[in-house]
Amino acid sequence: MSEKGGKGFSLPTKTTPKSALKSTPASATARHDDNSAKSKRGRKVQFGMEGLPNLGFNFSSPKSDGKFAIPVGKGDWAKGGKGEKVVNGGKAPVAKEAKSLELRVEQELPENVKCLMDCEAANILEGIQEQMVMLSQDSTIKLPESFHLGLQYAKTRSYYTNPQSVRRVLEALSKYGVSYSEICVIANTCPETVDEVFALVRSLEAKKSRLSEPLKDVLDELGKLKKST
Amino acid sequence: MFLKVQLPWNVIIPADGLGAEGLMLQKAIVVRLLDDFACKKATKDLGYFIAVTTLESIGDGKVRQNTGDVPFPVVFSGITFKMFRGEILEGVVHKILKHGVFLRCGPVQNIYLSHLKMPDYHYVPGENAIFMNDKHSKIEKDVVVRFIVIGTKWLEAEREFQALVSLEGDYLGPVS
Repeated sequence: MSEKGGKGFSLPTKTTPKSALKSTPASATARHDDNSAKSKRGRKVQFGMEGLPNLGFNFSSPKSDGKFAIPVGKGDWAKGGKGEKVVNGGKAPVAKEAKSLELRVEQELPENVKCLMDCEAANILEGIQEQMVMLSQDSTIKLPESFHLGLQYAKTRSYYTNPQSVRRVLEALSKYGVSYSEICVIANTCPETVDEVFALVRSLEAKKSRLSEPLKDVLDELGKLKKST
Repeated sequence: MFLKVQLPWNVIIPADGLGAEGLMLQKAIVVRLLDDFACKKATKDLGYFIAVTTLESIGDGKVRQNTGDVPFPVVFSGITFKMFRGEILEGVVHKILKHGVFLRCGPVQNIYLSHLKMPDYHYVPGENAIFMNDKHSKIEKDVVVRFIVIGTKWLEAEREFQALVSLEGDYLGPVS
């Protein structure tokens, strides 16, 4: 079942995995369900693999069975127990892939680059726009094409009145090992519950036990800083 | 997400711009920098160039022998936008096809969400085709959708990114 979307993307082929999949009863949860009941149980999902199912993401590797940066070797996936993943009708490939969709921004970025929260970026870009009104009288000054799109996007994603306070509140999490890029994703998604944070920022799963309490406090604080719409 | 970058750059002032001194020269350098920055559009490592925020330093220029123009080494800070694998973003649907939808997110115009990555949603054909799930949640044109990024691709020729995204996960999908 191989399909091509436009623009040369290869779509994943959902072939039934040849693997023997031993998993506890599937949590075929609907997307927006609260998983809190299930999250208490650690779940071991073991994959005895013959070959990885063909995800066929023709992205960075030219082969159609390109594994697309899923760092899995053959054999049992001993890292099970991350039971929070959505398992779509118990399909193995999804759980594996979801697991590897962890934020690894810091590793990918060079040294002199910092992540910005959308609300911080919105502030800066709005300031520049105000100045541009003055400067545009001088026709030699040019703005990049992406400026307006970037500004518009930042404004729609800017949920907080005061970016500095948001940063201060979220920085409390850094002593628990939360990276700055993860903090930015939390600020950008404006989560309401702790479960939402763990569902969205999958790289925090590993620190769930340590983070739940402080995260709850942080979210309460952030709630006070939200803009009223 | 947005990134704050600090970059070294070589701003080349042509010979005829060098009559100016002091502040006028600085202005010429800044204007030239903004111009180069705007033309660059995007790079693979840093993403789309959004704006220059500050000029940190301007070094000494050295006259090039043959052409007479002068490259000035400058260091500046700017803002860029890049999508990362595993990141949660929101995009606007702008095209619906049978096998998926195309979205825009900030400066990234080509984001593809396959129907295979929209669990429980099925295609509803028609003049205004949409994707709908059992709970009547609709994905149609101009709807804002929260997704997770599966991967990105840099196209050197067009100097732009494409992205592949998914709705597989809790708290993902159309947002009101």
